[in-house]
Order: sequence, then C-alpha cells, then structure tokens
Amino acid sequence: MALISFKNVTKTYQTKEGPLVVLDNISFEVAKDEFVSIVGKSGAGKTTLLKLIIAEEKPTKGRLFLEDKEINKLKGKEICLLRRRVGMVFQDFKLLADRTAFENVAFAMEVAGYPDEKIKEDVMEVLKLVGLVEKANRFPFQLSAGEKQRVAIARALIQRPDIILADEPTGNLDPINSWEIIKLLVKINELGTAVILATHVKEIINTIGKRVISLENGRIIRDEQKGKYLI
Amino acid sequence: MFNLIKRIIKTGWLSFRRNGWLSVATIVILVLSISIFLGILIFNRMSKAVIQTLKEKVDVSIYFSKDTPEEDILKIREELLTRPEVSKIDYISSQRALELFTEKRKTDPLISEVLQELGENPLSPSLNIKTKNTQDYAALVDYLQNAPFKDKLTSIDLLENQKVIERLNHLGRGLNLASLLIEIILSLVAVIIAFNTIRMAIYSLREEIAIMRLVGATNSFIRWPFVINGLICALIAVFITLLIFIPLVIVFSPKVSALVPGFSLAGYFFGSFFLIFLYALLFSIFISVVSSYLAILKYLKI
Repeated sequence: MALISFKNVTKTYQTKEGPLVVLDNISFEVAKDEFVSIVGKSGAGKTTLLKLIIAEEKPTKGRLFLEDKEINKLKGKEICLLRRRVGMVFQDFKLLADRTAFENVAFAMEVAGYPDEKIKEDVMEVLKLVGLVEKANRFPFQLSAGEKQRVAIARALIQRPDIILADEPTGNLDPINSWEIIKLLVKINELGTAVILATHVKEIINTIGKRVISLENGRIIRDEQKGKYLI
Repeated sequence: MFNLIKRIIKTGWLSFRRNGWLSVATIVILVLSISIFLGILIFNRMSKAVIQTLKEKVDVSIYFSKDTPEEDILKIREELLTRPEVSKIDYISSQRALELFTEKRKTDPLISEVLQELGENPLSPSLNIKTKNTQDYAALVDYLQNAPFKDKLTSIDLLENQKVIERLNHLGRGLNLASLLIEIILSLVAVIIAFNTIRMAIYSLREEIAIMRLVGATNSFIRWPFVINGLICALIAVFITLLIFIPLVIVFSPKVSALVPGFSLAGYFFGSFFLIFLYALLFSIFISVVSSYLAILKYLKI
C-alpha cells in the first residue's frame, strides 16, 4: 500500500476575480521509503499540495490518503494524530521563539504525551543527528538560519514520522547551508523515512537524482524516477 | 494525566516568564481593572454609610403631658418596642430634657434668665422613636395618632420630619440607582480593557499557536498553558493592587471619615480584608482566565 495517495485532487480558492484553480485533477502516489521532489515555479501549487497532506487545507474535489486513512475526512483529534505522523519543515523554520532548540524539539514529543526521561533521551539523540547538541540551550534568535532549519528538521524527526514534508527548506539559506540541509534530508530518507521536498532550486534537484514531479499551473506535467528540473 | 497537568503548568509558567513584557502589560491592565473594581466596592459601602448616617438622624418624638407618671411612659415604651417596625426607643424625662436644653443653650444668657423666671421645668417627658426603615414612619404615625394612650400625648413631632424622610428615601433610591449604574459601567470598562489587552497578547502569539497546531498539539494542550499564564497574571495583579491600596487606605481614611461621618475606610477595608481579597481574586481570575480562554478560541480552529 502506498504511503500517500492523491486521487483526482483539485483545490480551488474563491477570489474576488472568481475561482482560482491551484491544483487541477492531481493523482500520484508516494511509497514508504521514497524521496520525491515536487518542482515548479512559485504559484505552481507546491505548498498547497503539502498543506493538503497535513490537513491544513481541504481539497475541493478528489480524495487523498495516508495509507488507508482518508485525510480529507479527518476531524479534530484525528488531525492532531495525523500531524504527529507527518513531520513538516518550512522555509521560515516556524520555531517557537520563546523556547530553546531543545524545548522546540521536545515540544513535538510533549504533545504526544511522552514521559520526561524519554523526551530528554530522544531529543539529545536527534540533536546529535543534526549536529546541534552544543547549541541545545540556545533560543532561535541565537542560532543561524542553517541551525534553525536543522532544529526544525530535528523537530520533524523526533516523533519518528512516516514522512517528512519539506517546503522550500533552503529558501532562506546560503548555498553551503542549503546543501547541508539537503544532505540531511537524503540521510533521513536512507534511514527509512519518506521525504517530499518542494523546491524551485534547479541545482539541488538535478544533483539528488531521485523521483521528480513537475507542476505547472496546478497540473502534473512530468513524473519521472531519477528526474531532472526541466521547467 | 498528572504528567499532562504538570507539563501544562510548566509551559504556562515558562510562557509567563519568557514573554516578560506581555506579562507585565497584562498585569498592569489587570491592576487597573481590579482597582476600579475595589473602588466600586468602597464607593458602594460609602454610599450605604451616608444613607445610614442620615437615616439614623431621623426619628419621631412623642411628648407626654407633664402629669403622666414615669411608669406609664415606660409601659408605653415597652408596648411600642414590640411593634415590628420599631428599632429603638429612648426615654427622655423632663429633668433630662432640661439638662440637654440648658447644655445646648448655655451660651445664651437670655434662655437662662427665662428659665429662672419661670421657676419650674417647662419641658415635657418624651419618647424618641427610631424605626428600622424610614418608610415605616408614616405607618407608625398613623398608629400613634389613634393609639389607646393618645390622650396622654401633647404632641407628635413626626409631621415636621415628614418631608425630610421623603427626601431621604428619594435620595437613598437615587444613590442606589446611581451606584448600580456606575458599578455596571465601570465593571464593563474594566472587563473590556482587560479582555482586549489579553486578546492583544494572545494575538501577538498567534504564529506560535499555529506552529503548535502544525506539530500536532491538541486544542487543550495549546489552550491551557495560556489560561495558566492568565491565572499567574491574575494572582500577581491582585497582590500588587492590594499593596497599592493598603497605604492609600491608611492615608485617606481620616479624610473620608471627615467627609462621611460614621464611616471608617480603614475599619471597613481591614475589617473585611479577607472578603475584599477574595472578591478581587475572583474578579481578576474571572477576567483573565475567561479572556484567555475566549481569545484563544479564534486561533484554535483547525
């Protein structure tokens, strides 16, 4: 069974100028240990696609699944449980400003009700994986952009999610840090977690050499294993 | 469950500490609101004291003919005391009435001369009656005018007080209505100011709330630390307000007593300190906890 399935999904926003179709009859699947890049220009629908997976948006038409759970039918606490199975990394990091790196990562475990000892142990382990043990007690404003993104990745990883969604994770980073983050995501994928990376950075996609889904005006125009950025 | 409660309290405390300026702003506004609330409590008490003092000054005196024996007057007094509307009756004998009269007019030599010329005490014995409510005087007068002992009476001075009583009743109703209106308006102002400040504080943290939701936090896991934060602000605000009020009450108490005789601000404040503390605490907790709870609802819609 596929981990993520989109079945004829359409997302339309109502605007003053009339309906705006952001995703138009999209269908694809992502397997359990797959690394998939979603590419396309700004406004192609990449972020909306990721928002649908974490139930931040609902599709206008069609159905989408996380394994056998129909995401668009989830409600209340089921959505919270879904979000604990899906780690999310954002371009603007979305860290809690009044909490240290350790506390930001720990928060994801606290919401799931893990005991303090387990949280301490696991958070230090994940911070070690992203190379931030030394800066565990620093607040976001005391960290560089690259370090903040690594904290965000650690937070996404801590609950051992089935999949990590990365929405333009290198958007605010310099080239060196961008590569560090991409390498980290590839490593996470190699350890068995599926990754969907949404980006418009051509060099990154062409170097990874994994599956690429190309979006244009809300439609899938290309879906290739070992794909390239060809828009 | 215990773990969850501990975590929520810890998170609320952390949020209070680390969002220092927001917490300070919330506390300042809460202090202002509680001050308004305590001001209303004191004003209410003072206006009641004013009315009470005025009411205590109103009484009805019935004068007996000079030949009425003292035991008859005292018997009538006992009889009148059994009436439900009567609260207090003082007996003033002719002798006592003369003493009081001369004491009052001791600076007037003409009065002393007249009294000496008369050679006897011209004043009648009397009963000075107070009722529980000023509205009861009219009924009491009706009774006295037709009482079995009416032949022994020379005069009832209630009729002269009638207008004063009516004005006093009118003033009492007016003051009650005015203080109720002021209480409602000021309480609303206090609640609106505090609610908006807390709403603004939570608005400034809306991004954080969105992040918590994206990480999979349930609504209650997000909401309760904010409520705990509100509770901490409420407790601190109550202590600060009382610390401000204590010296103010001590300083202003003599001035208030001069203005409203029979009312001791310090006596009321310190005598009912526990109750005032409890009212202030409940008011503050109600405002901050309910405001936090309601303000956050908007950002919890998934």
